[in-house]
Amino acid sequence: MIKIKEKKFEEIVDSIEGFKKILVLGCGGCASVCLGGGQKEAECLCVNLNLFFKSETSSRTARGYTIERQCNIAFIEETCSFITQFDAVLSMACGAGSQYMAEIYPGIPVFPAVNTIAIGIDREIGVYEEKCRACGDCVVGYTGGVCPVTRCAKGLFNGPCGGTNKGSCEIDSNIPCAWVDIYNRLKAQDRLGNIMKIRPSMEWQNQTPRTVVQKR
Amino acid sequence: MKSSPNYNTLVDSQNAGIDNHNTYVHDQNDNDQNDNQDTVIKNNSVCTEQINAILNEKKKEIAMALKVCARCTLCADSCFLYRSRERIPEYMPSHKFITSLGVIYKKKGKVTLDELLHMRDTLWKRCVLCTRCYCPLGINIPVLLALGRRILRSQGIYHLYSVPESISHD
Ligand code: SF4
Ligand code: SF4
Ligand code: SF4
Repeated sequence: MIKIKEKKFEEIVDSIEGFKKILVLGCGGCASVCLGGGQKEAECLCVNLNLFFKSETSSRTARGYTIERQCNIAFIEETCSFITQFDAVLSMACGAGSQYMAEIYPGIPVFPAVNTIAIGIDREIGVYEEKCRACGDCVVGYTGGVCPVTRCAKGLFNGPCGGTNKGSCEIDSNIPCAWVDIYNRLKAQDRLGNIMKIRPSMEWQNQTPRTVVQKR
Repeated sequence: MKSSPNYNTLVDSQNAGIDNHNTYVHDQNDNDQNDNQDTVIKNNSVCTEQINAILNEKKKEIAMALKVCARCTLCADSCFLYRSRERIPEYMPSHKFITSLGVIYKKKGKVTLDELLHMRDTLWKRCVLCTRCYCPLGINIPVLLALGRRILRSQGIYHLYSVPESISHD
């Protein structure tokens, strides 16, 4: 799922400067699962903002509310009855969710309260690891289930590069070289043939927002 | 019956107990290690008024769904969770909304905390709100399930993802 992390409090406060009534909008989907922007986190941010407003001796207020998803109109709808009571929205959903909120409410400024970090896995509760960069043309079928776009610092499709260093990446000895992992896995599965052919590089140019339409 | 929503109640409702700053922040700093699913509940009572304010907003839709659902079970197979959980009836989309929101509605919001806690499992563990279920009679089941969650959220009851859970098929 999508992994997010709350922005620094100072940055959040900066972004909403000048706005009086703030709606802190949690997201019950991925944001909630990775403990970054669900109801609990939204209420907590709210408490901290209200304490801050109090210390400013201003009459500004923050209110918390959480909907099940910010990436689906069926769940955003719930907010339309009260959103106009607010001057600004602090969205705790991923970038997709906060942009959709902004699209639905053209007149209300929507600010992200979180950074969208990754498509990742749950290593343990509270520990998440990036696994995919949504490149749109998955190659892990050839690379032994290891993503070179995400794991290789250079995103090489025909690795490793000359800098590979005893199993580590040349940019940091603590980072395992993705291509060594790819090689080892394929070798263990007797599939080294998969990486013998040169693979053309990804067409990153002229990327436009992608839309998915499943045909069945 | 008032059909327009009470906005303040709506917004306040999820803030139940929010003035209890210290406790809340302390809980956070304490790391969620000591949490269990019930620590989110801020006060041990259910506010029927708050629940009814939400129910009233969607009265028509809920009443219609409960009336129209023919228990035909055609929605069952459109739910991937139902199919992947050995077709246990508790995973059937219709069953999920009838035994959660349906009960709250029929009891006119006069539900106990225990009942709501029981519904939390139905609404969070047995549904991911993928919105893929299909009712041939036009009932929008995910929207009703989301409404059930909204009512629980208004009472400070929701699933805590910070609590370890063994993978179960319940
Ligand atoms: S808005 Fe983003 S974080 Fe929330 S459910 Fe959708 S994809 Fe996940
Ligand atoms: S190659 Fe990597 S980034 Fe691209 S889709 Fe596959 S896992 Fe995701
Ligand atoms: S929204 Fe819930 S009930 Fe409907 S198909 Fe998805 S998991 Fe099943």
